[in-house]
Amino acid sequence: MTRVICIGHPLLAEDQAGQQLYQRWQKLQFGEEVELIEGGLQGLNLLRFFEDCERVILVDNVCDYLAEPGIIHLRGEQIQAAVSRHFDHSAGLAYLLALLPNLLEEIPEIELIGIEGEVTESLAAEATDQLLLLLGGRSAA
Amino acid sequence: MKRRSLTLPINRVEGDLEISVDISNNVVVKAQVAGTMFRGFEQMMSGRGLLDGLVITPRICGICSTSHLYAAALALDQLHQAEVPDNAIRMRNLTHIAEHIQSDLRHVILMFAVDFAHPSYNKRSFFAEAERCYTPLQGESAISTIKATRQVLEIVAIIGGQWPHSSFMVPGGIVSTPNSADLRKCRQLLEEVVHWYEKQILGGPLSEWQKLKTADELKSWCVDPAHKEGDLARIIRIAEDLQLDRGEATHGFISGGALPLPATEMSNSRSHLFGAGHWQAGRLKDLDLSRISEQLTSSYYRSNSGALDSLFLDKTIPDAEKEKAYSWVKSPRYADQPVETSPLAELLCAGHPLICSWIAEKGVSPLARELARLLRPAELLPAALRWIKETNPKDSFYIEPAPCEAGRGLGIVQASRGMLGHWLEVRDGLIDNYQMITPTSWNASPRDERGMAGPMEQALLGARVDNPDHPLELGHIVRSFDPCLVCAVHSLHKGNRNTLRLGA
Repeated sequence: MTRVICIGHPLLAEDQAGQQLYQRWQKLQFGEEVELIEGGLQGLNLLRFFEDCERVILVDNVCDYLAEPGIIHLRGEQIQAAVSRHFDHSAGLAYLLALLPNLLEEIPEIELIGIEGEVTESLAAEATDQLLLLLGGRSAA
Repeated sequence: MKRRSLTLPINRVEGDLEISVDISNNVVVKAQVAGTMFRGFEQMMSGRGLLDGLVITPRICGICSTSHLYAAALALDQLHQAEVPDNAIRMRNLTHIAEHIQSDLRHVILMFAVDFAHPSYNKRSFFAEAERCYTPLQGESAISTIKATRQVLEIVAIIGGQWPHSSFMVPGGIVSTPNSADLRKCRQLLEEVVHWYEKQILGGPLSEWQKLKTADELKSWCVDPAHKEGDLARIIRIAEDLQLDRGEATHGFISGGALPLPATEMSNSRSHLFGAGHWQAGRLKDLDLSRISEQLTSSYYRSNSGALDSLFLDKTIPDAEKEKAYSWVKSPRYADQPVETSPLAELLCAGHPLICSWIAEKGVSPLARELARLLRPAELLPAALRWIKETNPKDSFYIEPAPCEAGRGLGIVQASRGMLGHWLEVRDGLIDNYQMITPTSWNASPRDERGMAGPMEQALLGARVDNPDHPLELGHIVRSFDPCLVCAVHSLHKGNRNTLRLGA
């Protein structure tokens, strides 16, 4: 099982990429082995979606990774290296990622499709291509 | 006399909170609590359809979205004079309790007790135990709490379709019709939490715990070898070692009443699981909601209607250049007095014997607030299980209310952090005005027109700070209020946020 978790806030322009892509990708058919999830602004409460699966692909805005709007792809260690170990009241996604080794016996492979900038048609198409590439062509649009 | 001023942006709160204190001879002589964000949810509501509050207000906060939904639904119930079936009352309460359970336990273990494992305490006798249990990201109690509370919110998803930001409560009831399998699943989830809570938090069975009525009985419970490994006993031990049980200057407390009872349980003297009230210096009085007002002297908002019923009429008008203002939080007052609203207030106003006994003996303190958070699930879990049992899926969950084009509605709930109110004014079938007063607005309110400090500011005054470079004592006090600024403030500041971190 691969879970694609789209993160973000629909009302905040600089953080709505995950939500916008979720809306687009809902129209795609990914097959039974791929689950598309709207993660909102959740952190610790996404824990259950890291259980009983082999792979999690997070989709979220990133900041200052690219000089121009674009798409980046990070893998497990790159993501962990970028995660702050400080945390706030709502125990966000970074907190969950830092905790995973202490919470799960088997940690899924974790990847991130990061979107620098606001989602345009071309950026959305690029993100979709990246997702399909990661899923190994499992989708039929 | 040496006087020093500190500004402490506090981390691990929801939203941005800045504490400024003056310290003289290691004692706080002046305190100022400021919310540093403006959000503007209330402006978003004007001109919208009646039901929009059910969708928008739960998105104010990702932690207590069910509280906002419940308050919005109650305001609409009142507007429509809706009859709400008992089944719906039970399901609303059940989901609200699920949110409280997770919030209470995660707050104490992950947000408050974590400071006990701060390296500054490494010479204290409790440190090894605190480090083992509460170290961020790896403490035994922290990990256990996360695991145990991860599934309880599935209850909201089962009943309400999703969590957070569900909108399943509507005027006249709820939109879902849970079946027996849904209720059975909810019961299983709660029973798992009960078993964990008994073992991990109380250190003993709930049935034994419920017999405790006094502070002395609580002390005996905590030293009993069978119970002393529970987090309750451990946190009391450590907090007493740190003198976090020392009484503060006492302000009043209010509770709006928590969890309306179904008609089958209601009586003339009892309408909620925890009754509403105003507690001041050991005396409990009825709560009069008409005595609630908002003052704006120290807040970045323009003054408003001035009407007696101003909460229904006042607009939230930001004014970032306002002189003498220092916070984006307003100053709610009860009978013109600053009052605390919190789980501690909830249990005090409900006459909870153990909490009342503790306060009578030791006074209000950070530990008292944490005790209330740790003990509240002991009351909530049995009630939730009872309401599940009493729910008959064949009975109605919704009664369609009569249409309403104009009028007012007020919804009051006890959110996880205290009293939450939604004031709704409707004209021509649309929302004309919407005002919300959240728990942190009460607790973290700035000075009012008479210069009276808000409850958090009052709690900081007189606090002793051993090392002003690491004022952990102030972090304990502020965190005991569990401030949630995303609700309380009405553009994000980049720059000095979280520059001084206490504990994380």
